[in-house]
Amino acid sequence: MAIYNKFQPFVEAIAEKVHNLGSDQIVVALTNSAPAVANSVLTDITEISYTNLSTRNVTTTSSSQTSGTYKLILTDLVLTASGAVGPFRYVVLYNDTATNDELIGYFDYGSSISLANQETFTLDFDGTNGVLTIA
Amino acid sequence: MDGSATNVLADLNTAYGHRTLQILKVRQDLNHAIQEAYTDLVSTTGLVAGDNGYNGEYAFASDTLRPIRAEISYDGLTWKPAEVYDLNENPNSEFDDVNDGFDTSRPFVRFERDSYFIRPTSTTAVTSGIHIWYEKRQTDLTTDSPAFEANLHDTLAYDLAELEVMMHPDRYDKKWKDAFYKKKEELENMFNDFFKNRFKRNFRLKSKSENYK
Repeated sequence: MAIYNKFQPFVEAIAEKVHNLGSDQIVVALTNSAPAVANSVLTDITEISYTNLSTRNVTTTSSSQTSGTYKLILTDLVLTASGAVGPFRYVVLYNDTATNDELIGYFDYGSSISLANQETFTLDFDGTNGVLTIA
Repeated sequence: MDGSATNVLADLNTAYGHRTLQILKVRQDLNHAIQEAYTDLVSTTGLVAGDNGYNGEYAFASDTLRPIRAEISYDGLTWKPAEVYDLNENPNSEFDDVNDGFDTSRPFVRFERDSYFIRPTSTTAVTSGIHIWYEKRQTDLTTDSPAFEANLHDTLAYDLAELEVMMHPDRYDKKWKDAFYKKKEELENMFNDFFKNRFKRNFRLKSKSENYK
């Protein structure tokens, strides 16, 4: 199970209304270079080419609080290759609606992989506990 | 080579075996020569060391190259996939009260060199109560064809030709050898690429929730 890795500037961005996670478009970026915790915007990430890849837009299932704990639940995303993609290792979540495409968090697949035509990469987000909670 | 048909056939089967292992290597977790087999789940009551099923240990089929999966039926009706575990993952004893920590509702299997261990063991015999999947060893060639992709059968001819070059290096000049090894390398790459990419792969990243406090 891939651990969620924090970008430190995200908490400040949340506090200073950069993100509206309930309505903004969250997108995944793929990279083969380890992100740094101090990275804040998409241009800090060295992205791979997405020429042969299906949409990277993530659907937000729910964004709400219960008993004072906020939970963001995202719909699983299946990335399908229509040609060679990669190599990549890290999956970065960022806010495509925010002014500077501010970063949210990232996951480490553990090793670099490349997709061939018709191969898929499924992002299986936790549908119960959410991608992230804020208490 | 020495011209003996018997020796050539032996060399051919050696090369065939190497090719079979090469396929398993480049295909990693995909199954090339999957074989299914059933064997009896035996009652451990009264068994002594050396008996099949003693301490839950069963011998692999003689043609097993790589075990893949096992399912167990403790009642002859329902099947449960056995989770593969490592010897050091069991906090309880592996020779005294071996069923401690195990339950028939969630069986486990441990693969070792020439055998596998079923947990929990059973005190009730079940005919064909163990279903096992494994990569099987190739059958030696006599007059038939290799079991892998027909378009790549000529790799075996190149393997034998390489043996001949090694046995009689003086018969072949450098120009010939260079051309031969170049062609063999091309074929080698084709062989590996085919088996590496034959089936599409589906990757999955399962995320763990993070709590900002």
